Amino acid sequence: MTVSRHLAVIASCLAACLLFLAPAHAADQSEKLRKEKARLVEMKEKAEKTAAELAETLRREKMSRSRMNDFEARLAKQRRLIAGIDRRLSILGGQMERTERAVRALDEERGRVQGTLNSESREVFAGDRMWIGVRAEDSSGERSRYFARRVLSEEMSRYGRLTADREEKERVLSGIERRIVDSERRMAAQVKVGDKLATQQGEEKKRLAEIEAKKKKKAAELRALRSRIARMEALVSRIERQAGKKERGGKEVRKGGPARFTGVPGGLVRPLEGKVIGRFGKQRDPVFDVDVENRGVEIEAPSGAVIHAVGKGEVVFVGGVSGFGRVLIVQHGSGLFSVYGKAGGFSVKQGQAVAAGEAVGQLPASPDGKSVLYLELRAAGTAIDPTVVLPLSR
Amino acid sequence: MIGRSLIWIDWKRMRGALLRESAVRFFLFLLLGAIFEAMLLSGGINRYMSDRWRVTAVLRLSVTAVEGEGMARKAAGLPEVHSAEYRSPETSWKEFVDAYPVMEALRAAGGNPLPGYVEIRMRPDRFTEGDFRSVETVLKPLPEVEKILSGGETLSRLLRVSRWMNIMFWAGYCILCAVSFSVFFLQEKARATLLSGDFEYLRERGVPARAIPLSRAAAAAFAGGLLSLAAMGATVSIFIALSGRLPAFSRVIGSYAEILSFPFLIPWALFIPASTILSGGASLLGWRAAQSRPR
Repeated sequence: MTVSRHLAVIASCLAACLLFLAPAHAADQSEKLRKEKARLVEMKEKAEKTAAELAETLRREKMSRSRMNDFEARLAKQRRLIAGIDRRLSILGGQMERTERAVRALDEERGRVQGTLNSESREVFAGDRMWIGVRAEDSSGERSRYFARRVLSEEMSRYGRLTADREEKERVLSGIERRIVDSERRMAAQVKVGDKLATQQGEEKKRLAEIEAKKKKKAAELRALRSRIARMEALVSRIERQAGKKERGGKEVRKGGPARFTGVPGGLVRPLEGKVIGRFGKQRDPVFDVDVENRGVEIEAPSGAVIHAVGKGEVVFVGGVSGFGRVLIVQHGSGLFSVYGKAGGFSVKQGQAVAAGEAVGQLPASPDGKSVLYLELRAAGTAIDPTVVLPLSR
Repeated sequence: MIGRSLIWIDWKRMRGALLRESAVRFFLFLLLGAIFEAMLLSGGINRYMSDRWRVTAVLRLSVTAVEGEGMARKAAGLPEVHSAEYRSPETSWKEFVDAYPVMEALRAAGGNPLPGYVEIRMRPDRFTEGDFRSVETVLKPLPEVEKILSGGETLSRLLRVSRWMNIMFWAGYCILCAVSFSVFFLQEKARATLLSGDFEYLRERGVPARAIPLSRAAAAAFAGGLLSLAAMGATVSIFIALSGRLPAFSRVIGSYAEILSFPFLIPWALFIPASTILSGGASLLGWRAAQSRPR
């Protein structure tokens, strides 16, 4: 809104200046304006280049961000994996400690049992060795020896069980040790992978920071470009007004011509057969991810297709405009203009009268065989949607 | 009158010597009676052996105290068995640890590993291999019994030793009897020799030759009966006193109740006539020996 207001103020000032200036100075001023326009076209081309670079930067930023996200996801996965291995290691460590304790306890028990067995066996069987024939012990001795034998046999079997348990525990222990070694090896490998990922992530972060800086720089350049385009637009409007003034000064035939496109004599025709791919009005730019105000439409057609004038009129401008390539402006009546941009070339000259449907130029060649025509219709200094007045296929 | 005075002729003529001899005889009777009674009560070495070598019925670990007591009662009812007592697993363990103190550490490894048992004491008079086998045959099939301990291979040796020991004891007693008889005989002979002059004098004055030794033998038998009765009384008193004070005495010889039981009174009753006969016989033999001695 502010830009529009400024443009209106600038336009009013320019109109006021033009009103005060004598018609004799019109030719000089027109020349000056042309120079200014060429300069602006150059600026616009530069701005376009910058925009392309910015688009590339944004594409790279997007890629880098996606890579960063990927790295983060992989790093998170890696961390989870390492934490899992760590948990498993701690569980294995606990198991190992318990098993070692059990083995130690079994060893102690086994040693104790063995010692007891030895001393008890000596004592229990001492009577057998001491006496030949009648044993000097009574029935309590016999009973005690029976109990001792019984206990000793139980102890022997317990000793056997302890030995078997110990062997089993040792087998478990060696299994745990093997698993710990395996887990440690895996953990070391995962840590290595994690380190690598972290390094890559760091590099990617650095790259992203660089891209961010570049993006900021490009955004600033884009802002500057937009302001320049706005200025260019203002100047184009000024040309329009100037042309109108010239008409009025020259008392040409177009005075009192149609003020609306529907009133153009001979009617309106399509500039070429094609499909509208860029619509009129406010659109979201997919590359810059910003809202862009389109003042015309873009029609896709085969490369080299002939461009026809949409209605009867007079060529008021043929030349290059930044961002639009080769541009043709045809005046159809009082304040009615049709603008053809991004053309490969035009076959008409400024000041030449054209009829509706007359060939005025052709689309440029393209490797993919398709080119785009920019068509803008202006009525009383305002751009209107060409699809409203022309039968364009969408 | 002559006959009656002849009975007491020794007493009239040698009162002092007769008193000394009677004292010796009393002690000999006391010794013989005590040994005889001890042998009868103990069955020789059998009572001692039945006390030391008992049958043990080791019960299973699952057997409760009530079941163990029941087992003991059942075993005590057998005719070969003197007594049977149930011992709990705790008692088993205590006895076991007393026997093998080094094994006390085993208890720390778990609960009591030992079961209870029933200790069966055989009757001294049924301390034979057959009786042992009979008890084993009764107890072995019982589900509560894990093992019967009855000496195993040692038992037959023990019984053989026991039998020989008993024979030796009785032989020794017989020798002692013979020695006592010899002492009596010598006493009688010596007295008859000393009184031979008096006996000659009586014979010369018409006293029948056979009346003198018979009268003296009757007197000796009577005195012997009295002495043995006194000795037996003393023996019983001593036995009763000892059995009440010394537990070992009861274990080896017998208890107070058994001493006065009817089966043991009959041998006592036999001992007194035997002593009477022995004394009378010694008197006759001593007379004869003194008469045949060259003058």
